[in-house]
Amino acid sequence: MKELIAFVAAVPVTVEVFGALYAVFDAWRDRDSRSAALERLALPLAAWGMLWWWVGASGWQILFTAFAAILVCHIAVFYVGRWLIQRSAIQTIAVDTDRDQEIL
Amino acid sequence: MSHIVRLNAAATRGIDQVGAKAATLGELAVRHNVPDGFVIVTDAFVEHFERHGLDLGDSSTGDPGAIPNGETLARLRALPLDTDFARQVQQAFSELPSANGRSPTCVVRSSAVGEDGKASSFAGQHATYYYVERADLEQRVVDCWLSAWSDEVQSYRSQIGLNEPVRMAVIVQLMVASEVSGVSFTKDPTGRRRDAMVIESCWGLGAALVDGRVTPDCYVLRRTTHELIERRLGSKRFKVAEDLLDPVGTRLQPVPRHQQRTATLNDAQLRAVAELAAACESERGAPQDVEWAIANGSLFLLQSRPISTHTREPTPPDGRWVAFKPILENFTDALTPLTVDIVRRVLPRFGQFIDGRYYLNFDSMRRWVPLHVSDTELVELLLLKSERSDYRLNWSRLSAIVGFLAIAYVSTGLLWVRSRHMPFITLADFRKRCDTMLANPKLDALDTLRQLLLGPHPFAAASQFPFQANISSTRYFFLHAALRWYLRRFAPSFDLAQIAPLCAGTRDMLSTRLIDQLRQTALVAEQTPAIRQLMQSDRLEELPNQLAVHPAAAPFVASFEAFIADYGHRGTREVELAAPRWREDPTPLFVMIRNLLREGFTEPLSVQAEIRNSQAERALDTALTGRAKRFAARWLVRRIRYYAALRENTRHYTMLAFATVRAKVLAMEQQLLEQGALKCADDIFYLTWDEVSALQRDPIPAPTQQARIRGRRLTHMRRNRTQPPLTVNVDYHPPQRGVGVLEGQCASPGIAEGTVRLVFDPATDGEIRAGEILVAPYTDPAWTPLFLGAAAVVVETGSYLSHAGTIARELGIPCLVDVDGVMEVLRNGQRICVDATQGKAFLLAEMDAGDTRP
Repeated sequence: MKELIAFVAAVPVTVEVFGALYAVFDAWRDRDSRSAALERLALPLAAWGMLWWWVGASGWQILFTAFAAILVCHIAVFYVGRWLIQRSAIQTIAVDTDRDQEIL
Repeated sequence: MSHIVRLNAAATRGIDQVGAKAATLGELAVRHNVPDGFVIVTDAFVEHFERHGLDLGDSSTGDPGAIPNGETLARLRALPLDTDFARQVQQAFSELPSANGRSPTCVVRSSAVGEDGKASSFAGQHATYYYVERADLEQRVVDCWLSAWSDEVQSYRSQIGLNEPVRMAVIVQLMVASEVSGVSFTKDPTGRRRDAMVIESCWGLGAALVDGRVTPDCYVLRRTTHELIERRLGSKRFKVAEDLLDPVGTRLQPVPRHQQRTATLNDAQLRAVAELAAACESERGAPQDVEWAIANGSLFLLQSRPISTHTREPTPPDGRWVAFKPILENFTDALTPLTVDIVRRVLPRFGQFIDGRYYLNFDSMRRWVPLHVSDTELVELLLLKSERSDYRLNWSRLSAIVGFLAIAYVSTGLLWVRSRHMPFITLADFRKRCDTMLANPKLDALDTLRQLLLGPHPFAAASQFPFQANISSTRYFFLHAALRWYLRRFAPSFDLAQIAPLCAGTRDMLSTRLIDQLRQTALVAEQTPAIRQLMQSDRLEELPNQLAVHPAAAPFVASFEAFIADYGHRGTREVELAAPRWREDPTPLFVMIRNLLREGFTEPLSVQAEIRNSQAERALDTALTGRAKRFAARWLVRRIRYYAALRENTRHYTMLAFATVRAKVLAMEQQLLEQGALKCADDIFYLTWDEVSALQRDPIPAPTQQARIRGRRLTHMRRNRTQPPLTVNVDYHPPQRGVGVLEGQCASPGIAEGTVRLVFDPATDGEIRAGEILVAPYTDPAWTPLFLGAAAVVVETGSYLSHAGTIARELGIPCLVDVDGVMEVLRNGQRICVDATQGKAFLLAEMDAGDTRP
């Protein structure tokens, strides 16, 4: 049960940690934004640490699984989204009421 | 009996012989200035084709006759006229008066039986030939006859259920080399204004207008007094030349830029045209559609027919559809077919394009909105018209939405988190990506848009996803609602109207930087007397050439080029791929700079906003007690300001993607024009993506391509003249507005009084004087500089979130949005009082008569 709760909690924490890490890269080229981006890492990293402390050192697999799940979801959504948008079945259709047919 | 009759005697032969068009024209020729000519009666048509074995049918037996196929038409075209009849035609031609001793040229037009009735109009579908010389006349008569069996005409005949045998007379008239031509409708053909007459005009021959090649000038006058109610200048980018020096050359020529923005009719001409149309209506006894032309100062009547009331009953789309206000703002005009076809291929099926405008699926929205609402209430929610806050929550739907959001958070949360604190400066990287895409010849327009909107790879910088970040910036709306609730709860003494200045003052917002940078460029012009002088010219489109050779222009040119480098991809109707951008046509910017030079300079926008912002922050600190409450309020304000800027800035770069796609489309168009696959610039926007792709593979156009383009152009023009429905197949009746009071939504609070200045398009009509109230159909960043001089802004469409509201709040001027019908109700020069805080505008003249004043 503890593992399940830890996993459920780890998912949003991972999103926040990963997002904040990503945001540091986004901000790195803007000198004025770097320090603020690094500061924003503190809270999610602290939450991550607290979670790890709670679940115990041996619970790294749970956190790693959450991390991998988020990463896979992120990559999959991007490529599946790109693939799907090229399928005519899910594209928006356009109708022309004067011509009694879809334009396309 | 002769098969030829003089035009002014045509009516004596009866409609069966000369067609209604010729008969009417003949009657009108007795009293009006109609170009001289003659009519070839329908008997000639019958004899000619029956002699060559064509079954023309018989109306008494209901037999419509045979429809010749392409091969038969080609054979018939090659057959000459009967010798005797040809001699009659030549004789009639030689009796036409010649001008300046030269042999006359003429126009050959159809006058088919049943062509111009109350229930049908074949305008522009049968062939018309201009500048026909004696040697070509016989062939053109045959060509005109054969156009009765063109694909386009056959399609129209079947649409309106016309099953009569074809009988066509031909009108041969002296050619009028018109400088200005147009069409007058003695009654508003859209039916929106009962007491209105509509006059449309363009440069050169009227064929450009009838074929939908140009957006004409449009004048709306009162039917009774001919008082001008509305003047809307069209772009008039092309014209059919008034004189063809090169008979085999293209008829369509570009209009010089200064003429594109010049009104085609002066007051006296407008009055004369209106009187001519009214006279035609009076003589014919029914509302008329009158074609006319002006040549050498004379007004000619070319045609008068009843306004066609028969339009094919549109086929309603399946399902129920509703406009969504934040999207509707981008689609005030219908999109062209190519734009629709490209954009719809990058959008998932949450909605549908109907007649060039985007609608959401009403039944899907009903499932997604977690409230117990009626259909009408749901429509008002989606149109952002509802001000209620006491809806009952639908918990089962809410839990489903929470579940969906949780999944969305897991799968797309990284971008969501990253867009919370995106450094705006990094968005500029997106420009490099657009340039790379533009330079890549392997990428077509559609692939370019797909790649630019979807991002290069999942680990790319957040700046490469401006479209997604733009969507995520809707958090602005929820945070704004949270701030209102918070201040009501914890700071009851705080004036909620102060929320607008409190959340304004965003230095990073590109829309306000745009104004400040344009203001800076105007300041450079101000410091150079020679540039100031050039700016007063009526021909601002010639300014780039003048600046290029002017010795004192270098600082201004450098400043202007810097502006164009940053903002040149912007313009009006930015989602529309057919709309030119400032980089291509900077004239609207010159008009705006001239406005600034004339009206004087104020503090930069960002400075003004920050002053108001500081005052509002002090008021907030006074109203809130306790550090924690102040901290929470300030956090909300900071977040709102960030998301307001994120919304404007990501839109700025999303529009860069659209400008890049437009550049790709223009390159394709150029290639197709050179290959002869397209006849005219802009035609490409009236094809679908598949049709363009087919032309690229095989640049031989289908025989019906031109007819298809023409049909779509006319449909597009017609759609842009009418208000789009807010819902489709949903029973929704918008509330009636009060007399003398215009009601809308407050986008920026405040009260202002001033003179109405209607602006339909800043590209053609961008002059506004200090203290005037800008009244517009919609706004996008191209309108922004006009806000500088305005006392208040009233917008027909839009919402609190729309561009007009955002900029008005930054400027601290009252702004009223979503004011239905304001462009029709108000007229230039009227005095109105805008009380944006109450969401109302009052016509002062009517208030003097006893109405309540705010």
